[in-house]
Amino acid sequence: MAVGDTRAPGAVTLDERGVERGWKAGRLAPMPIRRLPEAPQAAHILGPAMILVALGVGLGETFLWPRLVIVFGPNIRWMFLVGVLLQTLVMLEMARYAMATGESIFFGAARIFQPIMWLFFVSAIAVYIWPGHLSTGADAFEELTGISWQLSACIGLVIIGVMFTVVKIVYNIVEAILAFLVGVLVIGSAIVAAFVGSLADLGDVLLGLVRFDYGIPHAAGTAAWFPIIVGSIAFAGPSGMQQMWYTLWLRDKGAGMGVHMPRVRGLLHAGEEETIPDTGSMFDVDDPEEWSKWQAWRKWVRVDAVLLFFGITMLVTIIFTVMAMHAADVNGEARNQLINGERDAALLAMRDAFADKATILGTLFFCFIAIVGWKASVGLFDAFARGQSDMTYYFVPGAKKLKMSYLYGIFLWGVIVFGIIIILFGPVDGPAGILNVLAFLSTFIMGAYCLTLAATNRMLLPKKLQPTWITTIILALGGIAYLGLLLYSTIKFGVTDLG
Amino acid sequence: MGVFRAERITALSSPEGPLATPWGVLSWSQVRELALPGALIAAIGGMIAGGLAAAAGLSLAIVLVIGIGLAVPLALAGAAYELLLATGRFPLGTLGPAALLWVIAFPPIRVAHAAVTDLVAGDSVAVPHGWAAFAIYQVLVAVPFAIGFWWLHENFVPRWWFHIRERNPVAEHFIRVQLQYAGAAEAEKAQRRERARARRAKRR
Repeated sequence: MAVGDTRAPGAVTLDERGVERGWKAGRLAPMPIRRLPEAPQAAHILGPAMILVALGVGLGETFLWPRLVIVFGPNIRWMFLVGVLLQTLVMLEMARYAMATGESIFFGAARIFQPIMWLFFVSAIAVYIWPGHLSTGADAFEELTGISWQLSACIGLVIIGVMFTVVKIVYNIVEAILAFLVGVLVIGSAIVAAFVGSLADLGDVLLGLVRFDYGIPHAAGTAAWFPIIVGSIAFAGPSGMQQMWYTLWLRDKGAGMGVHMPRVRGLLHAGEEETIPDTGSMFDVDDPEEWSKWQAWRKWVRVDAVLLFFGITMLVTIIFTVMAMHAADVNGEARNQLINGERDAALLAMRDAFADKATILGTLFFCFIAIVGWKASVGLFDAFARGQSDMTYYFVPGAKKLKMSYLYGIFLWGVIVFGIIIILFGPVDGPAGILNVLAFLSTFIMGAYCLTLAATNRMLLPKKLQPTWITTIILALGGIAYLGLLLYSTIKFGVTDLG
Repeated sequence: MGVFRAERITALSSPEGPLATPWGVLSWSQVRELALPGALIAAIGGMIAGGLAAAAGLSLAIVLVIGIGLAVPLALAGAAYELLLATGRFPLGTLGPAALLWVIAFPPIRVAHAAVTDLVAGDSVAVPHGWAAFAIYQVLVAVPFAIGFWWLHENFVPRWWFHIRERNPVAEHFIRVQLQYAGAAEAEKAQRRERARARRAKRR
């Protein structure tokens, strides 16, 4: 259910002289002052954090962190906790900008310095045109059914494209599908955990999350493991540009000032598209009534971030780690493959480890890997098309002659056709090669967006809306940490294989 | 969050039936349609397990034990959740009661399931680390299972209630509660705003 169904730009407000009031933010046109809508009261009206959960619970949670636990023991998971806590803070700050302005973080970056936005535009193409996530799931599907991964991946791509073309409001279908898949994933993971885990494994994993005293083991600083740890930290929770796209989903959900922006429609419904304002808008922060509505929105997004995003991400990761520990415990081959880092071989070995207990569990494990891959692809293809079309519409001269839905359709089908070509004729070394490049660039983007976010929320928002200095400093340190670790890894070890 | 009581509706209820709720007495068919979504959601675990066991080529007996042996008791507990909502013993929309139900129901289901599966497979009935640790672990695993159950319930079951609301007084009540909650929340907000405005005017 969308929070707000009314999608008109909304009346602007005038000052005493009858002049339209506005908020000057950065180098672009000022934002008009409009009314902030009411926040939803019910906590169970879930926000787009659910989409972020669906995207975020992927390779890092199901493979990279379980692998590190096998190698270094469960106490290394304190790093995962730090990574997810930082991502939760990033999510809340992304929401601050998006809900206060109705603009995406890409627009915010352009307000500060447009080349930063173009950097994200180009990075998105470099990272996300590869159908890596879908091929991971398709690989697992091949193991399950014998159907070639190329065929199922191509069919999966076409299904996603057709689905997003025929629906009226794209966000609604993304939310409905991912809500269902996340629910099934959580139930299924619990069932698998009920079969294969043990109290001792679970206790070790939970304790390891808070063993900050464990520090960094000596072996983790070697050429063999340091880059992998960097990649794993980047893959804790949502990686790459997923947090940036969250601002676009918030807008389509109608959160805060996003209610004044039209939603993205499927290509077949492009004719029904409303007028798109030239910029986002700001609300009157000095009006106590508006301020109280803002507080209610912050409360809503905090519930979304903490309960949904943090809670479910931790839950699924804990379950997968318990499963990996069990697999390594009962099957020496699984342990060796996990340590050697052969992802596909390790997933196979883990499947065999579960099958040692009951054949069905091995099958079930691969089924979940297939779901993880497909659900990530549903969100990622929508997100890519959404982000690129947003930047193109506002910042490519002449693009406004096209409707947003047309631009969305062009990017969507462009990435699908490219994906099919790569799957059929691309590098045969398969998904792992693609995902290693993705892991490297993900870390770079994450560092860049932390710094951008620290700047947008401090430089573009009214003083009353700005985060505390502590938050800004944490964001800046987070950005420096992501970039610093990446540079150190590359310079010191010359290694770009982060996973 | 306030507590909202919807008006009692008895027009859709049967004169007599197996389940009396604060919103009318339900017939068997009304009980069944009300219990259906909870049963289906809970049975997902068992259904997936059974389907995959069949796909994995296990013997029919094992497939039935793994699939039906898990799906049926889970479905019964899921149906019980719906009936506890229907009788007003559990409140709508909160995770706590769902977690409570599964923390109680899930461990015995899994203990019995593990034992029966071993028996049918001809193995000795045993679990690693002993039954006590196994049962405690199942209690902990019941929580994520409850979260998944509640998640799907919150997102999809209200659509089913809306579909059957004209022939089921409890579904009608649930839909009304949700609408009344939204309305009351709006009214409460408007009152708060009015009071704040009055206070500001008074200060001036």
